[in-house]
Amino acid sequence: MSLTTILQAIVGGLLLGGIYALLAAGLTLIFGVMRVINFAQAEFMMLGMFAGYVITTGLGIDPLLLALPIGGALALLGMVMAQGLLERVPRGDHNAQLILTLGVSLVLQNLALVVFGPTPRPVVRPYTNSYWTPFELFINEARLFACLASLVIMIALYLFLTRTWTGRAMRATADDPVAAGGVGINVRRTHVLAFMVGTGLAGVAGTLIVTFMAAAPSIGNDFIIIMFLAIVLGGLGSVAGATFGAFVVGLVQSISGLLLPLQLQNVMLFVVFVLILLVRPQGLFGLRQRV
Amino acid sequence: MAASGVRAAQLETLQSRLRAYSVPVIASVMFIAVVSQITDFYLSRLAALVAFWAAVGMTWNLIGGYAGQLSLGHAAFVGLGGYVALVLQQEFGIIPWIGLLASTAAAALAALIVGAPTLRLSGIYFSLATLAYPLILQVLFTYWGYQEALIPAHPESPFLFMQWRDNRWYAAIFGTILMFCWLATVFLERSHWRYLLTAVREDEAAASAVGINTWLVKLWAFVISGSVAGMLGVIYAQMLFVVTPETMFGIGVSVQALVINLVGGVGYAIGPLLGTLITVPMSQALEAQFGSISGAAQLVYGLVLIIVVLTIPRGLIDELRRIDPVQHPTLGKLQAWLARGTTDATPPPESDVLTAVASAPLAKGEVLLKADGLGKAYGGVIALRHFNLEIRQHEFIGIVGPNGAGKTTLFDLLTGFQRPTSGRLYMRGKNVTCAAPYRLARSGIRRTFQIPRPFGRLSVYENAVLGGLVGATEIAASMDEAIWRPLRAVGLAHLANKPADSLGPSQIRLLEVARAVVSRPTLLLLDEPLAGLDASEVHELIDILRGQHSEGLTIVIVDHAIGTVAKIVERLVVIDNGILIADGAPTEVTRMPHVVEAYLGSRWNHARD
Repeated sequence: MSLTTILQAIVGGLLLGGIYALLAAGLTLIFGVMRVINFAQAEFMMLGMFAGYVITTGLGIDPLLLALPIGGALALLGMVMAQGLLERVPRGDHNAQLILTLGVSLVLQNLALVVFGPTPRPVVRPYTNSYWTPFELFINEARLFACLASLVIMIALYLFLTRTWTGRAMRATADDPVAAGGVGINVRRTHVLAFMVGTGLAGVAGTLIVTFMAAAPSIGNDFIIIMFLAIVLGGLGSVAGATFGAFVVGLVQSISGLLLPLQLQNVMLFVVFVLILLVRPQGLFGLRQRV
Repeated sequence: MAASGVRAAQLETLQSRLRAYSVPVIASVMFIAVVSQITDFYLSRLAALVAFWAAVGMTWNLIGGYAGQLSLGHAAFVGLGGYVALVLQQEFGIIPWIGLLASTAAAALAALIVGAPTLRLSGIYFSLATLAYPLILQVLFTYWGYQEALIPAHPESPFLFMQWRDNRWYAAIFGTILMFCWLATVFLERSHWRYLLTAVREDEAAASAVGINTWLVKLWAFVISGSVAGMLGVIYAQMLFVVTPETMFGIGVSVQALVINLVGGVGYAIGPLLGTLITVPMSQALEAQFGSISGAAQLVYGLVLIIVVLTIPRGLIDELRRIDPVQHPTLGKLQAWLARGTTDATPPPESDVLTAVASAPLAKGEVLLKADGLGKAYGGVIALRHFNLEIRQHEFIGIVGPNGAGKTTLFDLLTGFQRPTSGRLYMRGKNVTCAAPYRLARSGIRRTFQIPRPFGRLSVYENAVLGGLVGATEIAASMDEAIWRPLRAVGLAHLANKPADSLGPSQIRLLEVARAVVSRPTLLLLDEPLAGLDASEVHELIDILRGQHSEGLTIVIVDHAIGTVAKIVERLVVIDNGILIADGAPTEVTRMPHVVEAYLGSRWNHARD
């Protein structure tokens, strides 16, 4: 195993991690504010992928330009789900919320299956199969662009949460919904908004991912555990932690690819997942349920 | 006269027991009888699937419903069971009947290995961890080359190899297992296990305070649930004949186990059965209807699921319980049938034998609990510093201090709810520094909580039962008497059948005291028992505590109301900033200048001078 192979794996892992960060941030934001584990989160990503696929193949618009509009559209779908479903069951009834998100996940996944069929749908752009080769490393340009775009959005999310009053209201609600209501924050609206931001982020991520990975109805199943791992690593509810967790997951996945046969790559992830949960359920930073 | 009354009561309990246990037997026999008349392939397959999922649902209900640990990985056990028997048959030619034993053992072992660490996690963390286990197994079995395992066909001897072409045989087997699962659930509901599991589900801290080893209770539930699920998986795999890791370990299996419980009613014996009767035929019908379009059946299934949760968020049985029997007589009958067996507890006549009340102060006995240099630091903050205290038998001690003095930390250290960072704790001379709370509770230390933690959904009577369920140091003449006496003492006997949630704040506090003394503990620690009570309620509580003390109970009150506490205790201990600053008779302690200073600030002291 040469140094270049190891470097290649690290770079590949970091690129993946950058994209996972968007997914994990969305999921953890929803959990932090609403205390709901959204099992349909990966399906929103999948919808983003298909939306990117349909528009790009139909109209020839580049997915990188579509990321934000598609994210916005999925945020609207998220609003429908939050207001129409999640806010309708008693808050704190975790069983009902869990089964609702499972139900939505089932519906979205199979809707895509009915419409598009099981065959993966790739989007081919000029940069999909071209590589940038600094220092003998092979860096896929599609992944690089996606990662960079993802980082820009993460910075925007950070600024939103720390610099705007809406963002602060969201963090306050995550900290203590009762106190937040006491100082005049509309908790219900904040919940819906957090869900919109979360699902919107998943949509953006999906549109970025489709530039280097084919869209398929069941692709969410591969991503959901990655998201869970990232947010558990960083401590449930912490956006900064989830970002860190996403990079760790990317690295673990990429490096275990060097050591283990391809089929067992995910086993490593699951084992890390379980170990982290058992040793430090509050996440690596011990940031307990913060946004 | 009395003897015949007792006999009649015994006969009645025997009858109710017979009735309870006969329902699963009759239902299963009828199920098998009806199924034996079905010749249609799909219908008999449907019957087999219903029985299979109902049984799987019941195994999930044990850990997810009764023990309250929402598992998202039940497929791990179903799949492991199926695959162990399959691998044994494929690789070594071992017949599935022997494989059944091996699989059950393997699933039990897996549950033990996985459960022991995972059950230390709580809430959402447990659920997330269980999500990973079947996925790990799915990847592993795929990697080992069982992507699509075909069970070796033996058409010559279907009974030996569990390979019937006729689905009715599978339906009969699953029906039989279902009957045993159901019987086991009925047994559980009528035994002390129901109390143990409910306590764990409702409030783990309160459960350990009454001496329950919550981890062990959960582990038992997990292992039993997993092993039976593994057994079911073996026969399921044989029935499917072509097995993929996805069908056995996939998230779909875990979700199905969860969904049938949520639809029927989590934590009820027949909840999974009801849920299965609705969801499984529905999903099969959808499959038959839309099977040609891949995904359509699942799509509709998902939609129905969403609608079901929106209309009956807590399951069918809960919904049924809320129906007004006057408006819907038919449903009312069903409701009454569901509620049967849950007879209200009636207090026995007050016994004529008066309890020996010692009027004279009891002689102080041996040292019960000894804190030897206890210290506790949270990161850099030192909450308690080198704390020494001896609590002797029959003492009535008040530990007071201003807010933030370290009272609650001390309390948690003395009851095992936190571990000290330095120093030792001795119980009757035995080192119990690192003993779990339930161990201290079993050795006779009972506590109440600053914010009371009753088992809210259980009745007042059941709360009291839980107090004496484990580790009662002195078994009273009859358990019944031991439970009713404290309830009478705190004046809650007439509310015995009300859910604890419905009591007022002061009554809940009294209930906690009653629950704590049911086990006849040697030492009772009360954490800020006077907070939030008005003057008359404080008097009532003090009278009760004095009564208990005169019967020989050692009591320690931790509170900040120095004035009130000083009036009732024999010995007053003051802490400030994590340090013991005074220890002695209340009249002396309250006059000590540094105690006054700690409470009222130095200015008051100077002003007095």
